[in-house]
Amino acid sequence: MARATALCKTYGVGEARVVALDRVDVAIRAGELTAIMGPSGSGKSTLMHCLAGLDAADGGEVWIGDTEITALRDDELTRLRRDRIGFVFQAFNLVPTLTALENITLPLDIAGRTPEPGWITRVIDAVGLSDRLRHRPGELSGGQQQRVACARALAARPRIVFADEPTGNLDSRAGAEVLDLMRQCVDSFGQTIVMVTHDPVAASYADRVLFLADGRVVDEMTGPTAERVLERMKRAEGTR
Amino acid sequence: MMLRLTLRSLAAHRLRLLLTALSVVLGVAFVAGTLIFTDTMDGQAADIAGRLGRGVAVEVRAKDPGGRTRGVSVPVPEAVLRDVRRVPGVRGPVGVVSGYAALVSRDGTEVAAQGAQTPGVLAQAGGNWIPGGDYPLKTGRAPHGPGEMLVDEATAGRGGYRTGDEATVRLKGASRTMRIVGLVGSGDLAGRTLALFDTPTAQRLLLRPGDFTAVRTASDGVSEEVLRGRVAAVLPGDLEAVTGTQVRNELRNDLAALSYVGGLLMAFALIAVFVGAFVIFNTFSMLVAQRTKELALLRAIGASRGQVSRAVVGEAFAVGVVGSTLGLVAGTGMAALLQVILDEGPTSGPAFSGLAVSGTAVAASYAVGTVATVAAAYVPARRAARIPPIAALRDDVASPQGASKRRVVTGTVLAGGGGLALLAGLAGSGLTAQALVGLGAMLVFLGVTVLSPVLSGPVIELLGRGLPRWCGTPGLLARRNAQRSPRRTAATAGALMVGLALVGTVNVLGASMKASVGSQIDASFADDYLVLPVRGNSVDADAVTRVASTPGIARTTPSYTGDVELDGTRVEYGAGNLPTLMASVAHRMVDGGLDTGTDGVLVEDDLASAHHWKVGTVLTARFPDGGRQEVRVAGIYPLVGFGNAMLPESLYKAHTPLPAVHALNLKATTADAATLTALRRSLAAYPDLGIYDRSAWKREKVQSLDQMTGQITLLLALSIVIAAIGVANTLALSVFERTREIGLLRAVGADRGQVRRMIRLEAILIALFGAVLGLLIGLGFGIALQHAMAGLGFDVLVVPAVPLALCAVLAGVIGVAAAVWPARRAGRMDVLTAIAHE
Ligand SMILES: Nc1ncnc2c1ncn2[C@@H]1O[C@H](COP(=O)(O)OP(=O)(O)OP(=O)(O)O)[C@@H](O)[C@H]1O
Ligand SMILES: [Mg+2]
Repeated sequence: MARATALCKTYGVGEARVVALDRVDVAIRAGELTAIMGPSGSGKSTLMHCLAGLDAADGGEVWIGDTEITALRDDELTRLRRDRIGFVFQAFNLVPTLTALENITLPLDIAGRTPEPGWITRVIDAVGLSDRLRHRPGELSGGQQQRVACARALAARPRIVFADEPTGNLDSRAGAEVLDLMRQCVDSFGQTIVMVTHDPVAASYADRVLFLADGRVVDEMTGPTAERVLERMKRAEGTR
Repeated sequence: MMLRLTLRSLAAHRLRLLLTALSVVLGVAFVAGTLIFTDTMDGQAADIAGRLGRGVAVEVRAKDPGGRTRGVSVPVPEAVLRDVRRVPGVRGPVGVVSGYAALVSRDGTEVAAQGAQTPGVLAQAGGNWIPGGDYPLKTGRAPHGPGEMLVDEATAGRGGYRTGDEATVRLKGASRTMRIVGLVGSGDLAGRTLALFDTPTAQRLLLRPGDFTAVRTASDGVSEEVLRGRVAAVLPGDLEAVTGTQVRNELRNDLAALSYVGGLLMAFALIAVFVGAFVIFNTFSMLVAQRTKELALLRAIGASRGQVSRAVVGEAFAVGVVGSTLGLVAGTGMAALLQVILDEGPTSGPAFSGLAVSGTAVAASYAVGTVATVAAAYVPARRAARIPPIAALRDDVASPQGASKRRVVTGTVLAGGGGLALLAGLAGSGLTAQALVGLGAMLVFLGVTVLSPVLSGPVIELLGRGLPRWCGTPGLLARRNAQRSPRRTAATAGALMVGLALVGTVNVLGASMKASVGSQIDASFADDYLVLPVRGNSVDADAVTRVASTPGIARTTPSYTGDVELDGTRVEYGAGNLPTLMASVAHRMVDGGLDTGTDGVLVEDDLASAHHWKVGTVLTARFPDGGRQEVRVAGIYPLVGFGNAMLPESLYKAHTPLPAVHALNLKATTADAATLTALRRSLAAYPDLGIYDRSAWKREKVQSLDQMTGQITLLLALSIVIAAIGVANTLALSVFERTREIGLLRAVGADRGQVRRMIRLEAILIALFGAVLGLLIGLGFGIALQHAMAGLGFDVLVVPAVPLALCAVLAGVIGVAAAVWPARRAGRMDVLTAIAHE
């Protein structure tokens, strides 16, 4: 679905030079929820931004489906994001002047597309906010806002959804609601999702976990549980 | 500490503040430019007056009865010169003659005066050449006898003549061909044209044999005042003696009367400053709102309210000083430009002597710029002081919106009070009334601005109703963004509102005046043609004869104009064969009739009632030839185009040494193209005479009104430009504030074009909101003004739909223009940095 080969990204020069991604190879499988974990500064966000065409890599290739995106122009990337990629950020996901419903349909409206009949309703049902659709983001709780953001990410039926710490600002209950929702999207709609997280419990919702350290993929785990992930993280701490 | 804070903040926002300062710069530039320009004009007038009146110790002239209007000017008889010569202490007294004389160039048109001329000072002057007098001979020799004259160098050059050439000179009522025997210097004339003759010729052509316009004398060493007393003692009752100093001062004032242009410009300058204050107010409001957290933190760590508001006012002060300085520089440039425009040619000599930048002009510019800025920042500064310390900890940075009920009450009271003041001012007259009108208009603007945050939501909803459908999501977002901060939108639109309101007023007034004039002409142009000098001031007798004998012209009615004092009140009158003349303007009488006999006069309605003159009242008339006669009010008529009284031709001719036809009303046997062509052919030698039929006359009158409307609109464009800066400023700030949001839009697939369109549409909406408010106010002002002027004959009200609609379109264009830079910035924003933006 999405893959990167020999992906490199460095920031700064000389003394201040930071290698954020060091020849990373990853393949995201279709119809799976993939979690990316790793210590702070290990390059998780950078990897995700490069995969999603938000940031340009210094070297290597990124494929979304059968499109190689590192060579695309800005307008082509914009179209790619609009039509094939969905995003959920850690916070400030919604346009404050638009209602929840308007935020959900925003990518479609921007593209000037009409949603497939029934799809939006299904997404909204899945998100469980049918009674809050006319509210502005300011009138929603943090968890509700993130659920609206998920619905927005799904509305345009993207090939792949990227979520950078979607539950990072939420308490465990609100976080669980969002994670349940993402899991459900994968299971019932076959959605491909990539999620960056620090939380072993969140990672346990995933089909597969990729571990990053110092800009490299150092490990991966299929069928994770919270305990195994936590153990893996402790081991990593220990080896440092 | 607080000073350091002010300086830091200035440095942090320097681009924004510079942009804000620009709105001060433009207004101050106009103020400074106007002041410098009038100072310079005044300096030049003093210069010219000093040179022309050099050496004059005492002047004898017609007595000025005082009061608001000057009396008619009687001539000074030659006998007075002889008497003055015998007064001890006089040296070299001379009789001065002056009157209308215009050199006609080879193509038959009069050589016009150059540059801006002031009313009350003859622009095309004739006179007697006095050896050793004001005008030194440059080439040739002195004129002798009836066939010779001198002209000034510049005028000769423009007419295409040299010493020795024969040239036509147009005088009151006749033209003559004379030889130019010499040229005088033209350095002292400020663009006026000059033709000089020997004294007897000048008397005969310009005045009356045996008469002077004035007698001037130098002094033998006696003081001007003493000499004046001695001269006065030998004068007949209707003449007076004044000192040379007074003469020079009067001439200076007359020449500097161009400062009425200054007064007009100053009004527009102050409007620009007023609009600039809106922009300042808005910018500071936004800066304060943005810095709520920072200011709250200051309060939390112990800064007092006063300290916080002083920090903000300090910033405003700095912006005002910087803006005023730049404005002063720009204004100096503007004054120079204005002078070049008004002088229009490089030949007028001393007009190019540098600009006079007085201390007053500098002080006034700084005062206006700084006071306006600080005053505009006062409310935001108070708002800053009211930020509670707790705001430092809260997340919602949105500034609290004022209680809308209080807002409605305040706004309504301000606007209502302003409206009343305006109406009261319009009903009155004089300076106080004018000030009242200005103040009223200002209050209306402030009131509507206070109200408009309440209005902005629904109005923008309405204006932007179709946007989502036509422009998609960017349209919807633009509308929501414009509604997001009503106060900000209102203040931004407010600046534009002022300019457009005034444009609207001028256009309503202009259209109404045009329609009124048109309907008046329709009702009063009873004959077929009108012949009137386009340049110059009379129709040659020869031209009258030619017209009268043109085939197809059935009746020629000449009319004349002049001045007379009726019971001590100076009145401009029209004269002619009253029954035909009054018929040619299709008038009706209010009282009495047209049968004047030889001593009857007709008096205009308002003048008659002001002096309680009735039909049959006997008045003492005093004429400019010195003649005095009892006249009888024979009839009273409503205002027509002929001044405030009508005299029979015989009375005019009896008291006018050089009678001259002012205009000809013509009745044709058949008013067709053939007649018109014949008429044109008859007057081929007189290109300065205009021939009008009813529609051409209407066009002529309407055109000048159009020009006036156009010029005022152009001057108002300045304030609209300032408002556009305000719109750009607001949008730039908003774009900055919404960085994250824009990044998000880009992340979910909005392209640069869509982001730009969103900003542009928001700008258009804000501008249109301003336009709607402005044009509605303008409509109100225009109607009120028209109503007030109905008594002056402007009794038709017209609302010019097309120009007003164009104004709205213009506002949209301004919005687009103002959005160019902010939209580019928004479009260029890097998605990742925008998302990471705090
Ligand atoms: N714009 C930037 N300029 C310079 N260095 C950067 C920039 N963005 C990221 N980095 C550096 O690149 C490295 C990887 O950053 P990245 O944001 O991908 O980490 P992360 O794994 O997402 O961390 P976290 O868990 O804290 O979000 C870090 O060392 C970071 O300091
Ligand atoms: Mg990160």
